[in-house]
Amino acid sequence: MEWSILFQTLIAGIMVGGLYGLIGMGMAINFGVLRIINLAQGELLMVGMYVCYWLFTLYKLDPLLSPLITVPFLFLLGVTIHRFLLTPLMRARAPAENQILLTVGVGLVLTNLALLMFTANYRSVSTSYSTELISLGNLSVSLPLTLAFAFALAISGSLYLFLTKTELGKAIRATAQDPEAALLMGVNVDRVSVITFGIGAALEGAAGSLLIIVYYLFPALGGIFTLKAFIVVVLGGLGSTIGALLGGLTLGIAESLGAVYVSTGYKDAIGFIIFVLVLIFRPAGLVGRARM
Amino acid sequence: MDMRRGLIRFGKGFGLLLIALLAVFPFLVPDPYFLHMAILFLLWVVLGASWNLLGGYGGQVSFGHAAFFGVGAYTSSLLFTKAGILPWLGMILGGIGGVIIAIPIGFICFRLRGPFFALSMLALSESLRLVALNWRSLTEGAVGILLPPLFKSKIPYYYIILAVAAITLIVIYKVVDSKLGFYLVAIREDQDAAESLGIDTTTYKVLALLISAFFTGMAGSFYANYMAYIDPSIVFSIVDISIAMILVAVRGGVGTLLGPGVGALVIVVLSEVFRTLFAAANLIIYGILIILVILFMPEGVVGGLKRYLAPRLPKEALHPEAVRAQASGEGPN
Amino acid sequence: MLLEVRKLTKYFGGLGAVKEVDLHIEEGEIVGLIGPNGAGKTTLFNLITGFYRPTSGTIRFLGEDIVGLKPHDICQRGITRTFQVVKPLSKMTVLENVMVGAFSRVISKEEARQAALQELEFTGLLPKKDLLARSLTLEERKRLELTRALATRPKLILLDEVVAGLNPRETEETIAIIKKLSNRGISATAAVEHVMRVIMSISHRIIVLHYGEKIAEGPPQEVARDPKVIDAYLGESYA
Repeated sequence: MEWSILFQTLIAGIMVGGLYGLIGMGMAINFGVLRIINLAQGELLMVGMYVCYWLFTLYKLDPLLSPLITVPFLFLLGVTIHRFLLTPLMRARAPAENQILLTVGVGLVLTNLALLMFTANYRSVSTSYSTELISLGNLSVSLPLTLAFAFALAISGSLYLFLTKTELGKAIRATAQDPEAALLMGVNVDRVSVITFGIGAALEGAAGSLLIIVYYLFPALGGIFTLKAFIVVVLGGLGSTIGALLGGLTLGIAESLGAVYVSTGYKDAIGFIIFVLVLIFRPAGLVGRARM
Repeated sequence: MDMRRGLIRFGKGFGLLLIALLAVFPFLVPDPYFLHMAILFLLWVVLGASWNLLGGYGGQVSFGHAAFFGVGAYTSSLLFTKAGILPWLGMILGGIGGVIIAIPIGFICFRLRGPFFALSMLALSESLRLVALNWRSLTEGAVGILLPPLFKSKIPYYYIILAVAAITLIVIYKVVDSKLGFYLVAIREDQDAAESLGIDTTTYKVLALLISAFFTGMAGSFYANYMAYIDPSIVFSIVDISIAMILVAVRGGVGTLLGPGVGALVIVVLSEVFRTLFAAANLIIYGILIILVILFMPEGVVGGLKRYLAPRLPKEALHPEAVRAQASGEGPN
Repeated sequence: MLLEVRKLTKYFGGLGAVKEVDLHIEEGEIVGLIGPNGAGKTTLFNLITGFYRPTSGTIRFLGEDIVGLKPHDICQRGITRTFQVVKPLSKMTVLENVMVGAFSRVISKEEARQAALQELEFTGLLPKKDLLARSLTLEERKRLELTRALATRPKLILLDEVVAGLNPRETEETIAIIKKLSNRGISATAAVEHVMRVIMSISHRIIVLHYGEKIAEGPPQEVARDPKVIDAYLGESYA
């Protein structure tokens, strides 16, 4: 076995994994607070990517700057979805599967709106650094992937600081731990729930801005990434944001090893195999009980 | 209870009439287009009823029943094209194929509480789709499998699926009306209470899953031979199979006997109407419809009807503490 | 001896909810389990009925080790329970709720129905049999839970706060039912928060838990005079 190939594969896996982690975090924070799995998470990512794509194509805005727009845009979209669709359901205390099904409906609408507006064509952005490589001896790593990874880590770090250091962040964590206790402590749980869903969406906006510089874009991409996000969240222990990052790294490494040493076609099935193994042996996730 | 008995009796009477009508349908309406619609309707009755046993009665919601549908379709198709086993037997084997897939997933997921099962099913069906897509030597991959249809006329297909639907409904009716049915509802209502009353919740959930998977697999086998063509994206489709199955059950009314029939009718008619009226926007409308159904008719047509017919409960009969306990205890366990 | 618990211990993280508790219950015996809120009564019940796994210690029922069995196994062997926060099967009728319990011993619907009707008669819930469980009052829900548990034909029934929140008349009725259990050869252990005269009057024996430890055990009158018990309740004399 060639060691340099192994290293190269691992590094690529870790970097892609950082992005997966960011994508999964949006779903994890939603699950932590709202106790529902948002199956439109990948579709929100897709929306973020289209926003980014058009900003780049029409206004030459560098994707790495576009979070300034995609983040607030997706935040508002998330808040809107929560306010008009999820809030009534939660008020009616509908069973969780109805809430999940609702997000499926949202995902379908978003995907097919994109299909109608932008066709099924594959799109990508080509920036000045799109094809640049960083070389380290035998190893070479793509510059855009490295940039995306660095940004993903920075955003994850900011999220962590936000959750641990700010009033609102603490309120979100309190609600995730015990909504009733949080309510008694004077936390406005309804407001926290809306804001959390907004943040969950905003994270996809940020992730979309990064993903588009290393990946191509098409309407059906949402479904693929919803599933990846879900696997990441289960690997990390449902509801844990730090866990999601670790889950993302695990999935990224496994996929990239699988693609090189097994076959590209089965890359996605490998994620599922890990997923099943975790369910059997560590149902609380790779990092155990830690929550957020 | 009286209301429910009344509904069941109404259901039985209505059912008998329906059966008589269905038995002579091909002679009343020989038009192949309508016959095709009727076949799809019956297929969806089988699928909706199968999902409903597990999801509606047992409260174990699956987001990936396409796994069983697809495995059933591929099992009988491969047995037919590679080993010459006729779809008659293939249909049974397709059902068994679904069961074989269901056993491990059931035992793995039903030990856990929370949304594990619902979403593991989603992941399972996606993974099976990938396997079917990539195992080209066996499945022909994305090219799919062309099958020589057994009959030229639609009439034999109509009677086969009518028989399958009848058997499915009878079996599920018997199950629901038995100890297993009581246990499933008990598990749905409160898993801890069920355990404390001597119910082996994991085993009974798995049992319901196996029955559900068997009929879903059989339906998949039927679909394959009837359409004479399958590929991974059709039979393992999340939206067209898994989600549609939930909608059939939810629209009709979760955990009701009549529900899947109503749901199947709605979905077959609506998807036809949408396809002709909205063409490209078809799936957008479909998504909006899902949202509207969930928002405004969470208990489905039959469930909503039942609630409308049932005498209103006096609010003060509910002790506040009990109401809170009930509210916090709801949701899938 | 019906139930024999030795050195039963349960820690949640560093917190000892039940510490080295010994207890035994004889056939047909009614035992009052008393302790302030947080004393470990519910945890003890969860341990005996298999909802929690003990950190250490043994539980023997009819001479057999039952540690590690699932709640449904333990129910099949003859121990069942009610819950402090009642868990009615809301969308089933009262009769159906009780039938679910009865199905643990029979297979056919008719047999389950007959058994359920008998138990409903025994607890006086028969007139409500066709109501949906969610339409019952709190008292009726507690009664339903007891009836449902009885339908599993237990040898020992653990009653968690079975009279909490009931008015004096309802309490009397429930106590009368528990008293009758003894005649049927069913042992009952009733956990209550306060040293109540009603529990004292029907219990053959009282066990007092405090911060997870057993601090007193004996005939009701004796326990009520025990200084450690009086201490635990901060001098609260039993009403």
